[in-house]
Formats: sequence, C-alpha cells, structure tokens
Amino acid sequence: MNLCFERAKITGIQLIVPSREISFDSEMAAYSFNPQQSAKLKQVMGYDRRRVVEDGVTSSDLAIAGFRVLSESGQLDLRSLDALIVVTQTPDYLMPGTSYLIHDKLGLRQDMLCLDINQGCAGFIVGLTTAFSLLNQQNFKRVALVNVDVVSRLVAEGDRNSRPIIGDAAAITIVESDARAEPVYGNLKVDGTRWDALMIPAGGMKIRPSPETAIHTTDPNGNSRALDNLIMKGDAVFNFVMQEVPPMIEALMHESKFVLSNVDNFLFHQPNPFMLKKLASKLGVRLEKMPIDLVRKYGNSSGVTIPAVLCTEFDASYFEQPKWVCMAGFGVGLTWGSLLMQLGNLSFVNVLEI
Amino acid sequence: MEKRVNEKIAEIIQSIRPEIKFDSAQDTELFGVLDSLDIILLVEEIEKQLGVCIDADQIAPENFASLHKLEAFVKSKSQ
Repeated sequence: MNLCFERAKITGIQLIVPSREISFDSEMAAYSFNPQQSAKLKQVMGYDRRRVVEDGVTSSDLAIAGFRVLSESGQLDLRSLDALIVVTQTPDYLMPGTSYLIHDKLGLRQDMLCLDINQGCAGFIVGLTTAFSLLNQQNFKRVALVNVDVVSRLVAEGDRNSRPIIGDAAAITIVESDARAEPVYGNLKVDGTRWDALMIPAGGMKIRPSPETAIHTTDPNGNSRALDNLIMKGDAVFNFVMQEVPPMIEALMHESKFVLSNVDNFLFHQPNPFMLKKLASKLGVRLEKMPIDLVRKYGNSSGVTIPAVLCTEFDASYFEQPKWVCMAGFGVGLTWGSLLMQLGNLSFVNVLEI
Repeated sequence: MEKRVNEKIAEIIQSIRPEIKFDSAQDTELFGVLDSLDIILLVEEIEKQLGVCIDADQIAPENFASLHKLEAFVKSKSQ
C-alpha cells in the first residue's frame, strides 16, 4: 500500500535506554557456542553489549521517565498533546492499554486520544503512519508517538538466536502538523500467513500462562525456550527480510519519483550488522549513509531501533539542515514498511539513561 | 578448481557445525540442519575464503538446501 502525507513532520525525538549494560562476553557460557563461533558471531552479528531493564521495570516506566524529563526541561508541554500513541509488544497489562497508564501518571488532558498498537520491529513506521493520519483531522495538531519494548524479560536465557542481541528501550517522537512540511511518502505491507514466525505463544487468551508453559525444551540448534518466551523462526525471518525489503525500497523510490542517490540517510531497523550490510549492498547504498552497528552498543530494541539510530549515530547539529531520510521497519506480523521524509529543525534529539 | 570449491565448502560447514557428517556418495541435506546463525556464518566465510559476493536475495533455501545445491550456486558465482 502506497501512502502520501501532507502537512506533517517530526519535531523532536527522545531515546530512553536503561543504564544496565550486559556484555556478550559475560553471558557467553549460557549458550551452546564454541569459542570460535562466539568470536565470529560477535564480529558478524554484532553480539556485544546490550541495554536491558532491571526485573520489574515496565514499558510505562521507561516512557513516563522520558516524558517527565522532556516536561521538566521545558522541551515539551504535556498539556499540548492531542494524542498519545503507544506501540509495544510488552504492555504492562493485557488491559488497559499502556497509553492509559502513561496518561494517568503524566496528568494529560481528557480531551485527547490514547491509542495502543501491538507492533514490533515495524512499529516506528506503523506508529508514524498512524500519527500522520491523525493529523489530517484539524483538531489533532500535536501527537506523541511512544515506541517501547522490554522484550528482554520474555527471552529465555538459553535462546542463543535471540537473547544475545535483545535490548530494551523506549523512544518518544513528537509529530506535528505544519503547512510548510514536505510530503511524506510511505509504503506498508503485511503477510499474516507468516504470523507465527515471531511470537510469544503463551500469555494471551489462546494459551494462558501456567507451570506447563514455563517448561523449557531445547530445539535441534541448541535453543532452550518455553511457551512463555519469545520464539523466532530465524530462517523464516531472515529470508523474509532479504526477499521483501529491497523491492519495498525500490517501490517507495518509484512511487515518490525520488532518486535513491538523493537520499541523505537510510535509517533501517537494526536486526544485526550482517543483514543490514546485505540490504545496503543489494540496494547499492553506501554504508556511510546507513548506520548498521546500533546493536553492538544497545541491542535490538524492536520498534525503537530507528529513533535510537537517529539519537545515537548523528551529532545533534546534523539535522539543523533538513535531510531526506528513508526509514524501513520489518518484523512481526509479518509486517514491512518504509517512509521517505524530510527531517530537520528538530526541537530536541536526546538520549536519556535511566 | 571444482574440487577446491567443494572441499572448501565442506570444510567451512564442518567448522560451523562439526557434528554434520558428509557422505561423498550422496548429497547432504542442509535445510533444517543449519539455522539462520549458521547460514550467516557460512555466507560470511564463503565470501571471505572463496572470494565471491552473495546477494541478499540469493541467501534463499533454493541455494542453501543441500551441499550439492550450495556447491553449484557458489560455482555459478565464481564464473
């Protein structure tokens, strides 16, 4: 599905990361890798350091801390928000949505919209397209998009495919209407037939959590997990990304009549450096334009990785002059989406450690 | 050249998954044996040791399903 939004822009982004850092070296013994494999995975896959929350810390905790700093520093008037969109796969409760908990703690206005979306690695794209769509209604002038996940709490200790790279984080992105903004071009796709490629089987209504769902089994590749844990079909997800992402970007360029070489930066979801290098090579994009190493420092924080790249890989002054950026997210659903938009004159680009 | 490629690929696979047994008389299934991490390490080592470049969309089951398919694919890239 091709999309185009007018009069909408991003005006500020804040990343919130836990201060707790875990290194691959310190937990290597938990996985079934030999030392040679570990060294290679560190280099090729970016298994290195990741940020994870302490036990008991929830998605709303990260988001609320971020909003409070923005409010107290005078960078954001919380009462000016017309909508709060929270994109997460790790809500505090099954009900109510996490947005309502944030609404309560921050004392937000009653005449606004709170909306929760269950999305992961395409969550920044899905969240932004939802926010941009709201701005078509004239009473929505300023929307706060929260992407947040604490998936580390749901990854099994013996999951060698996922755990070494999973990180926790939140991002607050402020989206506003602006009649002078350049158009935003987008592209969204979904393939529900592959819904089980990334999932947490137990915890919802289909399979209630129980002592049985906590029992670990080990697959032939040495991954030990329970039904309570994140399960990723690595092969299926890998093939999906390699097959679907390049044509999506080519279609976005075609629809927007934009030339790939005129894009200043490619801000893609960060699964691992290997996949990003392959995508860059396939698209003919120079790596100077596409950050690929976020996971080495912070881990893969699902829908937060694109704003995390924005906040950590560029100097604060970089976006003083507007830049054309191409963003792409891909993952659970399976969902893949991309946006081509101008970024510039941002009120804030912050990193907050809590 | 052909022998070198075959031996090298087998050697790389053995270094990643030493438990895989090769039978020279028949093809060895790789699909369902190697997981995505193994495939990534395999691609990285083939590129490094055999000097070929494997595109994103070529890292697909049709090229990595078995040892013979992988050998044929790598040879086609070497030409």
